Amino acid sequence: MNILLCEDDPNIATIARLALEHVGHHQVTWVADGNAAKSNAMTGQFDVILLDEMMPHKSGADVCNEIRQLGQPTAPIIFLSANPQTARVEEFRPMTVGYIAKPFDPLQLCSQIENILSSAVNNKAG
Amino acid sequence: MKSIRARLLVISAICLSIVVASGFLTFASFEQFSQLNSDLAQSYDLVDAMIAYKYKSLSGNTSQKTDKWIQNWRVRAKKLQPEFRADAVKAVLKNPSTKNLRFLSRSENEYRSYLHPLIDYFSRRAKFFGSLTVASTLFFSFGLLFYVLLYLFAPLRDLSKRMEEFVHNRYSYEFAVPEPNEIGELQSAFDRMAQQVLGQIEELKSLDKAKSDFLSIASHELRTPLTSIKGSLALLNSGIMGKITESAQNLMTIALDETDRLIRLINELLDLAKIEARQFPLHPAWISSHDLISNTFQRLSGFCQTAQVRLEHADTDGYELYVDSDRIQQVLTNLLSNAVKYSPKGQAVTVKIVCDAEPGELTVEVHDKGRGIAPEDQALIFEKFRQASSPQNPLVKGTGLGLAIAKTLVEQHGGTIGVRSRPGDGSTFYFTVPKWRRTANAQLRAVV
Ligand SMILES: Nc1ncnc2c1ncn2[C@@H]1O[C@H](COP(=O)(O)OP(=O)(O)OP(=O)(O)O)[C@@H](O)[C@H]1O
Ligand SMILES: [Mg+2]
Repeated sequence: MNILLCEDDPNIATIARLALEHVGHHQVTWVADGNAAKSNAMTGQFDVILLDEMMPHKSGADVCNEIRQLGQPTAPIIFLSANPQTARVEEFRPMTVGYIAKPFDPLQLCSQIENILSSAVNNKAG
Repeated sequence: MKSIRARLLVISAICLSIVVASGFLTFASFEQFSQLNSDLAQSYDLVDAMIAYKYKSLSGNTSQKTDKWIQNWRVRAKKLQPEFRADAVKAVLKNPSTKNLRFLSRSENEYRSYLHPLIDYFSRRAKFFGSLTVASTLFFSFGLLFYVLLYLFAPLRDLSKRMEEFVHNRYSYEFAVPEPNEIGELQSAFDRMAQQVLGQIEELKSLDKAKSDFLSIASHELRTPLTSIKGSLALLNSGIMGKITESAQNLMTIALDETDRLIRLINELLDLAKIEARQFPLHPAWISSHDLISNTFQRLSGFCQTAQVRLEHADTDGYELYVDSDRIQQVLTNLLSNAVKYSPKGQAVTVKIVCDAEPGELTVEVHDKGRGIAPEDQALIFEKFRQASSPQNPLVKGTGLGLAIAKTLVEQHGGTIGVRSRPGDGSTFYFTVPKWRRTANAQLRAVV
């Protein structure tokens, strides 16, 4: 899979990237801020987007909002959230297919993504 | 003279004096009237008596009794006014001749013709003042009633309306300038109180906001470095990044375990803080007891396998609970994980639903055959960071927050939580759910 990783913390980004590349053998593109996340998401070359909820300049929720306003379909978005119970995640739940809570287990990351994607497909079918 | 008390006093004093004065005048006129009337009657009596006396003395029928009668009339005649009447009576008593009698009746006639207009006058006067008394009494009582209604009840009603609005959060600062009297004082005292309360509410709100801001920053700032630590350790430990020696792996496992524990502690602390700050609004919905319990069992299946403890359930089907299912699953998870943690290997942990213990409430029980809890510890363990003394061989090191979280969540649902246990004989943790129904007839049994 071709994965867009939007994460401002370089340490977490490195770990997520290593995990995705070494465990799941996916291709990862890493961006560190909301603007880059938005422009990359619109290119349509990714299979899934991992979006950090809190980023400088533009939060994950803002990115979601702007993409929605443009009305352009994107790859499924998964929130990476250190605060998964806050209202913001609830608010953007319809735009995303799910969220992964931080701290995540890097060895489980790939299977978590696959689970979320397959349940999203099931939901759509059902 | 603005105060209602003073006004009422003055008005009632005026009213009362007018009523009393006209009442007195009525009484005096009436007295006069009746006095004149009795004088009139006496004058007739007098003439009759003298005529009777004349006939008696003609018949020569005088006795001792008659002498007394004459004596009596002499005394009465002295008091007669004007004087010519007394003289006439005395003359008749001395000599009851026709001439004297005629003179008496003429003078009495004159006297009566003087009385008649006076009687008329006083009767009119009594009537006038009598009706004046009645009228002024009526007028003043209605006036007072009107005043009380207008100046007391209307502002009071206004004030109570405003209080009602305050209670229902619709209080506005746009109030009329209060009148300078007691009601006005009450009104401005209430307004001051309302403003103070509203000010304090604002302050509390901003404190609350600061608290929740702190919570969300703390969650983020604590979880971000932990994500890196845990991630690095897990990747290294897995061997994906290259082989490491066995002792290095041991150390890494220790670090990883402790990181996990730290993460759990932080998660639970933040959860508890958020629940206590009421930042987790409940999203209650009807959920079947079966789903609730089987979902929780599923979540715990890995943990139970490691601990070699079975999960069982009895009488748990056929109910629907009106709860926030995530939160109640968390409660059940905390109770079940404790029960599993403190159960000996090979034993079973049983979940049961009891609904007839206390009418109206449904009780979920988690029963284990573990070491039990000493009576003195039973209340303590629901507090934060409290663990029962002598923890023997706990499978997972606990943080002592599981039951505190469960308690807060159950109470948020309006239920209660508790434990029955004898040391060495297992324990039964239970919590109640106030709003539930049976699935079979879908009948609402109890609604809070
Ligand atoms: N089923 C049980 N049998 C015996 N003791 C129990 C049982 N459940 C709880 N306890 C006692 O109550 C204490 C508090 O439990 P609590 O769940 O709050 O914390 P914990 O299990 O130690 O940590 P954690 O926060 O990870 O759940 C436990 O440490 C234990 O001593
Ligand atoms: Mg516990």
